[in-house]
Amino acid sequence: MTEQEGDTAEVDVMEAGLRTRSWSEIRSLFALDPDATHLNTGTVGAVPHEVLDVVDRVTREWTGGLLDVYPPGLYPEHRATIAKAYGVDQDELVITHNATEGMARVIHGLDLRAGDEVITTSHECYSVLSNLNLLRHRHGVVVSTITLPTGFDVRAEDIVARFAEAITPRTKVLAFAGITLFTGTMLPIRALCELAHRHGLTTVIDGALMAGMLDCDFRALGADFISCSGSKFQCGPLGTGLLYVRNKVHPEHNPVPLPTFWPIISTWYPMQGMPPPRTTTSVESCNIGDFLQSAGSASIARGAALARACELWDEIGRDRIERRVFELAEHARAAIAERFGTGAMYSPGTDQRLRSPLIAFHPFRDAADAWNVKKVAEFVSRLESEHRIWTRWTEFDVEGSPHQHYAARLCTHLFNDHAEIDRAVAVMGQLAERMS
Amino acid sequence: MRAGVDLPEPVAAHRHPLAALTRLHARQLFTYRGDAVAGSWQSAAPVPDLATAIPSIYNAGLGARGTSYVVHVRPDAYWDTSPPRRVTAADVVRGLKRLCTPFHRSTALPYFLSTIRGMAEYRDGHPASLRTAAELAEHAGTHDIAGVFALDEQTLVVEVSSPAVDVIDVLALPCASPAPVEYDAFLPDSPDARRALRSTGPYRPVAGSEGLLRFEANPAWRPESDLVRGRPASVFTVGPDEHAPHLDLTVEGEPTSSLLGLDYLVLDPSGPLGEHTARLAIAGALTRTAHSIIPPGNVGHQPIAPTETHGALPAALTLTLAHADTPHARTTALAVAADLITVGLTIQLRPLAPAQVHTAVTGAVRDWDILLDSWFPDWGRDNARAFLLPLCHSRHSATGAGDSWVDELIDVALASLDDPTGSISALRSAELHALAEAIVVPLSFRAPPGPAADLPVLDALGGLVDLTATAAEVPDRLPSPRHVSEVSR
Repeated sequence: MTEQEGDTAEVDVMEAGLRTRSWSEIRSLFALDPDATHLNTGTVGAVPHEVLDVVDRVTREWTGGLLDVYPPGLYPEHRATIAKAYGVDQDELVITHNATEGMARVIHGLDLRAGDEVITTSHECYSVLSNLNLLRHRHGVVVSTITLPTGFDVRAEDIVARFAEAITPRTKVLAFAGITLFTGTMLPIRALCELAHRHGLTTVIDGALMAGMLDCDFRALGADFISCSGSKFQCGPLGTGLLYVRNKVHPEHNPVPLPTFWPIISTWYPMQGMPPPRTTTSVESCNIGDFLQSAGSASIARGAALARACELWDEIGRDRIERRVFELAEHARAAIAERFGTGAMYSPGTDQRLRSPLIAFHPFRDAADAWNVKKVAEFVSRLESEHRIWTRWTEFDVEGSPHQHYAARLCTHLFNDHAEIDRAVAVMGQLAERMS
Repeated sequence: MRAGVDLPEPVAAHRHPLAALTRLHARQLFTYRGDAVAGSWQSAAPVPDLATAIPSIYNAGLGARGTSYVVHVRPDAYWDTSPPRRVTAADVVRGLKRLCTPFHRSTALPYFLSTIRGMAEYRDGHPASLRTAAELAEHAGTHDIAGVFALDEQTLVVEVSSPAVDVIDVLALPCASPAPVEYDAFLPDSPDARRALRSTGPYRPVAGSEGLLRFEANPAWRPESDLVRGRPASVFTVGPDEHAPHLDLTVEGEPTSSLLGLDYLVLDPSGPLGEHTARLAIAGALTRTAHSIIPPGNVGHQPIAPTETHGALPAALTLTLAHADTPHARTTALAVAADLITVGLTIQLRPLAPAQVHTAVTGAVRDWDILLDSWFPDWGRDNARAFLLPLCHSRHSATGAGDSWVDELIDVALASLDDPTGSISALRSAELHALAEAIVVPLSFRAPPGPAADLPVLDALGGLVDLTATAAEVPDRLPSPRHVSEVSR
């Protein structure tokens, strides 16, 4: 088991190279209640002590001073640090308040007109559907919503086919979650982006759950926009997010010309004249990130803390973290499948490409309890109150079912270990049995 | 109070002249506040009544798909049984099933049939052989509305066929009141049922002396459980011949509601007006100020200019014009008759008692050629459903336009209520087609008549007088729309 590597509890892990430290040592970096099992990073992650210290220190440094707060509020260095971790450049990276803010600014910054179509899914976060509905009302944009398939045996090709079938000559945008928060389905991002490329479409990805979980190169994914949370798997403070805005053309990743984009909410969008035309090459024609980042005074501590969280990830090793997170997820998936059966799982399992560390399942014997929100909510609540196991319940529609389905969902992250996952699944099984 | 004493069972309260009295004793999952300024958003916004909150995505009461509502029934609302018994989700289910029976056809039923999943199938599934209350109860006990079910004693799920922004308003109609198990012993709105009404509100109806109806304080009602109603008097006495009453519900006062309704004619296409040209001739002969079915201020209204119609009437035609026996309807009917006499028609006026109006509107009795009626919107926001469906849809309205294309357009509009662009466009198109048929002929727009006293009037529910609004502190007792439910994330 990985967590047994070099298990020395009292080591000052900050002084040693984090890449070589054991997972139990790395767990000690986090402000976690030792008696609690945190399996809900999909909602909010645990913040490293050091990141909390940065929030505190930088807040104090900049509070009540007479320094010019505007330049550091553009976070030039922090954005560069974070951008590098995701394979992009500083001008393509914005520190936002959360994934919702990023998605809203993208959705409303797109140059969409009445009759233009956006294809999305009914399994998107509320904030995405809400902003798309606003767009529909404001501009007459047509929002075409597909229902994603659910279940253990879903395959990536099924998902790509649904998007492909929904594309019409009026389609302008594909908007989808990289990983859905309800069923934890990792959408075939690259394949969907390639589909978009073939049709000349803009791609908007809700990457709320991607940052800090995946060791990914945003540019190589081929998307135009990716909006991430900084406080979920990236474990930054609440109120932090990342937004990737494609600002140059690398044909090997995305050959489609840059979309017309209006950086709404901006202090430094030109007050006279227009920004230069968007580039058609791999050299940017403007710093679109600055346009978006400049939005009045900002919390300098927030950006610094998120940057520190990202640096910690770089020090631990993003590739190592991804392997750890997914290895724990496979352990959890197998345990849940064994205890509850693959038929109880809403999250994909057969197709490895669709697996994520978020696993949603139906815990009860009676299938009809899947639309009993009170029972599912009580299940999650009792895990917390009686066993100090933090999960959450999710809701979504299931193709062919007239009901809204509710599921229990757990997530694994680098600070979890096999033993607590085993315990949690065992407790869930017992509790579900009692409640069934 | 001067009013009739034939208090209906809540299932029959829609458009009933005593609906204001129903509000005294029957609560619904949702309702409207009587203390809001007329025309303000609060006056049209539903608030929780027997429910703990308005279901929304914020409080996990509505799924993101917009088709599944979870309603939590207050645990502190009781029937006036002995001992008092808690109002349950099963009572709500029973009430909705009772709305579907063949024994009473509510004019509000189209709203439910077109919204709630499985309600039309449940309505249609009643065997023709059903005769008794016991048989009806047996049927209700063994059949379900697919989209309405109780998760437990206090939790209800209502599933709708497609996202609809007016579901809460539909469930706020008094005819959707919960029904206690005791009602299973009676056919809906039968005389026996009316004599055995139960109460969840601040008052309960009891038989008074000398044919009077008396509302006395309901001991099972807890003021703290009711965020909307007060109990302004200890007793209400109601009778048709009350001398010097504090309030006369039989008199129509000046309108105070800000929502416009419609005076309109239905020209019966199954009689002498079967020819389209004859109906056009009648429409063209009338002095009218309204030329659209949906009045201004309601969703889907479109200004329509008067057009010259060219029709032809058969010679020496005698037509029966039926109308409610109220001063306003009498005056309007006389004006209509005067117009039609000038084009050579002979008009026989037929005043109708309230019960006869109901049978005329629902098509149960069709002994008229022209029906004069008024329709006021049942709710004020997102109320596209509230005019064309009950007035023009031939599957849902006995007086409908009879044009399948109109029906189809209305269906399209109702299936896309969450997309105003598509929905309103379909509605407008449906309205134009319905007007061209000249079965429904708008006469004038008007707000519902107010009470003959200074009393609050709800903008919704057709301008219902609120006899329960008293407490100045009511606004503070209402929860925020973002009230957190027990299952909130």
